[in-house]
Amino acid sequence: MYEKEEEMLHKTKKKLEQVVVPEQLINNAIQQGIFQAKVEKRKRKKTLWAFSIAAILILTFVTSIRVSPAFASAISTLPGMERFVHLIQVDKGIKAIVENDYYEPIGESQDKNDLTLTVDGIIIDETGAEIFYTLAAPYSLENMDYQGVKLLNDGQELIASTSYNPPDQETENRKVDELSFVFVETEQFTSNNFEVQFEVKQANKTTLFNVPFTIKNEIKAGKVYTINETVEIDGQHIEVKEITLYPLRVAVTLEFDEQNEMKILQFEDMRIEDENGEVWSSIRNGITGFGENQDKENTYFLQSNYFKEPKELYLKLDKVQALPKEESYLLVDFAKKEILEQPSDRKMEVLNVGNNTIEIKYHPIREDYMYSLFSQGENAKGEIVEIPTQGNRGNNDEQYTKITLDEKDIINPVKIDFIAYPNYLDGSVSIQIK
Amino acid sequence: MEEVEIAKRAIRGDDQAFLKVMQLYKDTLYRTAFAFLKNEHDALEAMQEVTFRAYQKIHTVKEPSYMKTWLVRIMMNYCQDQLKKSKRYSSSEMLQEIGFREDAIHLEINEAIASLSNVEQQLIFLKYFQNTKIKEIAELEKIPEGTVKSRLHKALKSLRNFLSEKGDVDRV
Repeated sequence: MYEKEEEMLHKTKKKLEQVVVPEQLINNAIQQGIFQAKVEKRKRKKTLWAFSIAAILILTFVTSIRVSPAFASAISTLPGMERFVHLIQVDKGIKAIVENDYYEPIGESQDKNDLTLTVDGIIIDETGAEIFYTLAAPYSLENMDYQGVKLLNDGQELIASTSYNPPDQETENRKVDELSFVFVETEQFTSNNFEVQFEVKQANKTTLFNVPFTIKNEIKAGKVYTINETVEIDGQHIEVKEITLYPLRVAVTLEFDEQNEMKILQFEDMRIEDENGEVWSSIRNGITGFGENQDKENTYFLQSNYFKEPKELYLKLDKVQALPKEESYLLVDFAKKEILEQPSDRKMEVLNVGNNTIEIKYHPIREDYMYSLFSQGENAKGEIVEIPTQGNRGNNDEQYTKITLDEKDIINPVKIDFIAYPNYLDGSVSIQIK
Repeated sequence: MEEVEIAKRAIRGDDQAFLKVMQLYKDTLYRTAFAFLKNEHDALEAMQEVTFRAYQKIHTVKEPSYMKTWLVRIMMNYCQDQLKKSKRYSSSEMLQEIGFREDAIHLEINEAIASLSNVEQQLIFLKYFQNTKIKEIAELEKIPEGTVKSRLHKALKSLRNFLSEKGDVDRV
């Protein structure tokens, strides 16, 4: 019936097929598009779901740094390591790393503005790096602030979550400590050339250090165990996708079934055991994982025992925090200062809502542990609202969390997802890895 | 079929596979962009932006064998948005003024297509320029095949009306 029109369309199609296609320019455009998308993805991964757990120091002694005398003397015999004895935790993974010569002494430094930064040594794998450094001056380092630190490989920044101790030091004009980098994606290094960029500020004077160095040791690859098995806890399905062992950490990748009614928040107990039931315990202080969104893959980090080869390995999951999906968030109107929606069990009591703040009271979720309750919010337009400050205080009976949101992004109502909550799935799971 | 395998891997998050997918369909996508935007510069920009959008949404693709059409739709949506923003239009008079040498038939059919609604434009493009099967269009849009056919007929009718108003139908 429309043959004439169809014929015209056909002719136009033929004409279109004659259009010259600038191959190289198109390839460039595609590459650019992919690159931009990856940068976007990294940015989102970094801000979403980077959750950390800090141990509360209820008691007066410092719990994080304890070393057995035998281990201490073993370390101190290694050249350059004696200064770090006080930093190495009783961590089977790190012990094995040092014993297997995976710690590499570097010894490169830079002098600037009377300050000397020395990269003393490094432990690095595809998931991150521990860099041991010394900062020295002919005067007191009091009131020194760390502005930021970056690690580069072949001039490219390795995008990471960084953590380090604040510069209050024992010896007045010298700071000996450790920088931790957890890369947001496992990295394939393009060479063994790295650089630390470290910015410090004291009395309004900023100093930027650039210390390049080359790694001589082979950077060990991860040992991947592909599992792809689904387990069930309390009616909720979790697919254990893969478990990769790296020298510095073990990455456990899980995917939550879209059909689950509950939103899984945290695993209070995630561990790997060998054939003897010996545990490679889970919660490291600091970053415990990354995830893009609830229904896709989430990666959790456990301590690693890379250099020990057990016959069998089992992944165990227990004490799983979860909330029903429809009740897994706060819906807040900051203009009306009202909470529109919240979990019905009211375990979290909202004390007050400010222009861009919320204060919450609750019973501690776990003894001696402080969880971040939130990661970020979402405004009425679906845009991300950052939570730049999340402050916690309290004791073993009561805990208070106050969060401050980025005012400029608030368009009411704002939805803020919980990433931790004292509600649990019944049951536990064990799955064999090897 | 190999293309489907690559599409499946790309959906699962394999970056290399995604690149392969873009390589497989880049000519089609470029020509689609060119058909709507009518110049190389804008078509290249479209390639970049659509690659970006596709990468972000690739995991949402439900049917790997329809990957090409899925990509073409992203391209068409982008192009139509761009056209709306810049309110660009080509009228045969204007183009002839600036000495644009294109067969009058093509100018007119292009104008006719441009006069259709966005949805009809996409339908005509998929059916006649990409030879997409009615079945595939129906599944992607989640509408019955009968509806696709009747919409197509309506679109062709609109084209006919537009062209006859211009008094050029007899030229074919």
